[in-house]
Parts: sequence; C-alpha cells; structure tokens
Amino acid sequence: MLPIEWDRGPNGHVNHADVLAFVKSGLTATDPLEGASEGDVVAAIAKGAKVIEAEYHAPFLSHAPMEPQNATARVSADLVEIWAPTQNIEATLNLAAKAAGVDIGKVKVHPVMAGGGFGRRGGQLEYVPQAVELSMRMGKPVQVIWSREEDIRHDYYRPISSAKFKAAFDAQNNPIAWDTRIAGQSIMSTVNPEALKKGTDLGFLVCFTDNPYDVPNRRVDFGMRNTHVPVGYWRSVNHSQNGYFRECFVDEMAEAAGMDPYQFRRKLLANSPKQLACMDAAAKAAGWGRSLPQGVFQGIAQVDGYGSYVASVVEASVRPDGHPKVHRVVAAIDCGHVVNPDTVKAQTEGAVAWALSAALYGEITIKNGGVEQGNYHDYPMVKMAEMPVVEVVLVPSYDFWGGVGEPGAPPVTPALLNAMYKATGRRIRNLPIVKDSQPRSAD
Amino acid sequence: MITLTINEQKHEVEVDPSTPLLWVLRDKLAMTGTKFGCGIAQCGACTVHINGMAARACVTPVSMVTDAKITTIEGLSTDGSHPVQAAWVAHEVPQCGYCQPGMMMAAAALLTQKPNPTDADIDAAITNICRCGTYPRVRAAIHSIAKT
Repeated sequence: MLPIEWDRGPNGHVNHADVLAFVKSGLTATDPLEGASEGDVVAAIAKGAKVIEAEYHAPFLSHAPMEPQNATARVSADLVEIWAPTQNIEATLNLAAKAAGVDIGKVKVHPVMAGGGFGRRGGQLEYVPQAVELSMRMGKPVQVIWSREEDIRHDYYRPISSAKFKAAFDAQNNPIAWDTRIAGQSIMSTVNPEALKKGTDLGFLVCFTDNPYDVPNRRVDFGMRNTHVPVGYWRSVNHSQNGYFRECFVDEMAEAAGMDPYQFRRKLLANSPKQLACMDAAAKAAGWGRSLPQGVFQGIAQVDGYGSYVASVVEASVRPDGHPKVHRVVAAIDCGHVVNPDTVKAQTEGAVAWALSAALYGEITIKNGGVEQGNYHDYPMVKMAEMPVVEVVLVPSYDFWGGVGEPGAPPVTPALLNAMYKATGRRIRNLPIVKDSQPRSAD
Repeated sequence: MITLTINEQKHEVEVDPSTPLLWVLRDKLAMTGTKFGCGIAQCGACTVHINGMAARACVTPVSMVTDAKITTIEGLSTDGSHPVQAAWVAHEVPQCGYCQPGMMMAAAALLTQKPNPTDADIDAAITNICRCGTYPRVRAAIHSIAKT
C-alpha cells in the first residue's frame, strides 16, 4: 500500500480554541460594522438605575440530511446528463457545464427526490462537478455517493457566532436601553465574498435590525470574524442563532424587571400586533401559567422570520444530570395565507425536531484545521424517545404570504432554555445543552 | 456465488461475502427502496427484516444471511396495502421520505411482535433518525394500526 502523508493545508494548525478566541474577539472589537441604531444607547445605559449584561454563544452546525450528498453523471460527446438531489437546478446546470467545459445548452439536469436538503443542496454542490469529471475521465456514467463522514466533514456549516448584550432599566424597572453586539462568521464570506466588499452582511443581524420589542434606545453592531471554515444556509439560517440569543436575553430582561416573561413580552410588543397575536395564541393553547406536574416548567419565545410569525411554549423538566426532558411544545404560527393546513403543521412539527437536535447535541468542532465529527454517533440527533408532543396552532391573518419551512425552528431553543432556567435557576448561554448543562445539586 | 432469499424469491449474486447486504440489495439487485444513511447502524435508513426481525442492512455482511428470510420494503406488500403503509398515507407521515422505508420496516417488525405497543415500546423499537422530524406522526400512525 502507498503510504499517504496528508497535507492539511494552510489552516492545518487551527484548532477549536483558536476559532473560538478569534470569533469571540469580535465581541470586544472597537471597530464593529454598523447594524442599526435608535436613540442614544450609550447615554441611556449610563443613566440606568439597573444594568444587566450577558454573553451567549452558538456553535457551527452540520446539515447532515439523511441522504448523503451524491450525483450521477453521464458525459457523452454531445450531452452532459446529471441526476442529482438538488435544491438549485440552475446551480447544478452551471456547475456541470463548467466542469465539462461546455455550454449550458449541452447539459441536461434530471432533478430527483432529495433526501432532505435544509440548505445543504443549494448553491454548493461540488459533488456534481466531481461526478462530471469522473465520467469524462472514465468514459462511462459515474455515480458519486459521499460517505456520511464526507458529508459531515465537508459541509457548509451554520456559522459560529456569539452575542454580548447590555440592557438598562429606569428606577421603575422600565427597559430604557438595549445594546447588542454580534460576533461571528458571515455566510457571505463563503457563498458570495463579492457582496462583503460593500462592507457588511446585515443578514447576520436579523432579529435585531428588525427587533419588534419597543425599547427607546437600541443598537446592534457586528464584529465580523470570518474563519477558514466554509459556512452556508442551514434551515432557519441566522434566525437560528439570533432568535436564541434575543429570546433568552428578553427572559433575562423580564426577570430584571420583575415581570412574568410572557407579560413582559406583551408589554414590549404592544405596537407589534402580529407578534402579539401569535404569542397570545401560543400562550392560550399551552395554558401559560397552568399548574404542571412537579418539576415541569414552561418557557416562551417568539421569533418572526421568512415572512411568518411563530411563538412557542415549551414544557420541560431537568434530570439530575442536568439534561432536559422536553414534554410538550405548543407552537402558534401566522404565515398569512394557509394553503394546506396539514403541510404547515407538518413543517412546524419537523422544525421542533430540527431545533431540538441542535439545541441538545449539535456542535461541529475543528481540529488540525478540519472537522472532528463524522457520523451520527458523534453528531447525534433527537430520535423518537426524545421527541416531545407537538401541538401546532394555526393563526393565519390572511393579508400576506409567509414561509413555513424555516420559521418554526428559532423559538424552540430559547423557549426550552427559558423553561430550564425556571427548573434550575441557572442560565444556559452556550450550546449545545449537553455541553453546558450541569448536574443539579440534590434538592 | 451467494444465494439469498429476499421477498420470498431466490437470488444468486456474485459478491465478496463481507459485502453489506445494503449494497447487494441496491447495487446488485436494484432494490433501491432500502437506503444508505450512515453505514454504521446509527440511523436505520437501511432497516430490513431478517427472519421477521428489524435489522440494519448496512452492517450485515451478506454471508450472514444466506440461510435467512429477508424482507425489504419492496416486499412489505406488492401494492402498498400493508397496514403500516396505509397508516403512513392516512397520517401523511413522510416529508422528504428518505428515512421512511426504514421507519416503516421498523414499525412493521414492532407491530408483529407487539400488536398493541405502548409509547415506551415505540420509543424503544423506533430508533431510526428522521431529519425532517416526522416522529410525532410515526407514533400516531403506529398507534392507529394497533387500534384497528
């Protein structure tokens, strides 16, 4: 056998601690990129009778769809044919044409059913040119199937990111200022570096640039920190980190104000009728504040995105080892018009599983420049035994058309963490939960 | 030459005896209903029945099952009328669908052994991964069969 000595490339020396330190340096950068600002947040914080601060972190995540990446190519003198599960037929066509060195008129793409995509099969489809090149060299049709390990180690990951918050309250416990710094890796750094030349990536600041909570002085800015790890669109994209950051910190603000987290949100959403109606529907369906079995607690969160509004109430308990058991999730969704109610329900149910797998277990880490995890044993998923009861309430307001694939996921994680806080009195501000949870003292 | 009994038919295949059953089904016999997901018995997308028991074809060397009765998703019924398949349609279980042949095979094996499974039985028997998150509907579909 030929002895193989791998060249790990220019980033072969990079380990996860380096990545973390680099990303977190964006939290204290003195030259952040501008996001959005209203009022004078610095002056208002200086005047605050009470100021709270918190720092949150979200890891890289892999898509790990059930069907590993694959493509089949048949290249002949006058036609390049591709069979591939793809979310982006145009990109498939262009990549195949480029790999074969032919005009797109000489390429035919047969899109086949995709075994999950979740953003992985969008624009980054390098298995397509692989199949084309192999077919050209071998002079016959070639099917390329990545192993699960190749799939997890060569993904375009949900970006790593961190958040640092400061909120100030007046003497009557009204929030008067909210300052947010987001640090992390812009998706544009991988998928469209040209777009970054204009300065920033405002998409990274969703949930804050469009923050519906009425606080008079607000600011969000961005310590962009682009690592060598390729990143991409992962179901619910930047709402997945920012929804978690924001809705957990809103709970911290509610506690500082001495208010119930649901009522605190209601107060700050008085001018956001869609968010308010959706959250009221979730709270009502869940029975917010109802008497629960001993050890079971409720948490709430609401995040709008992808043109839709979703609020979730999670009922969870925490085992002695610190790991949660999620008993029930009630989600209310306003996606404007509802075409097929069952599809909206199915997507919202599925989004719960998507969010829970990430919240409980999901983390991609870097060693010697590459990804450490490789399969479902070290990148685990929620299975049947951990899946809660999910109740979906449709509250369509019928004056817009919103998405339903993504928006169900973002509120789940913060609602769970907020419920866990009630159970343990300890805030988890670092995901996955399995890493940041602690055994509970005997009680 | 290895002889296999799959869906009540004999098949002769020329393969290395250590080849996983999954790849014999897919690549040699063109039975592509059984899916590849992980290759290490973690996800269950490749679940088939071996002598009626759910088993993961990706880690089953074909040499181990030469005397066995193998059933794949293609053999669950000839026309999609197996109670599990009918329940899956009624509950609109699948989303992307990739894990569902394995899910259905695991559910069918469970119902053969325990015609009225409890939630705990379902939790223990259905260890397949579904990235779309169809678990609540899988559970409801299994219970609906038990009630009939």
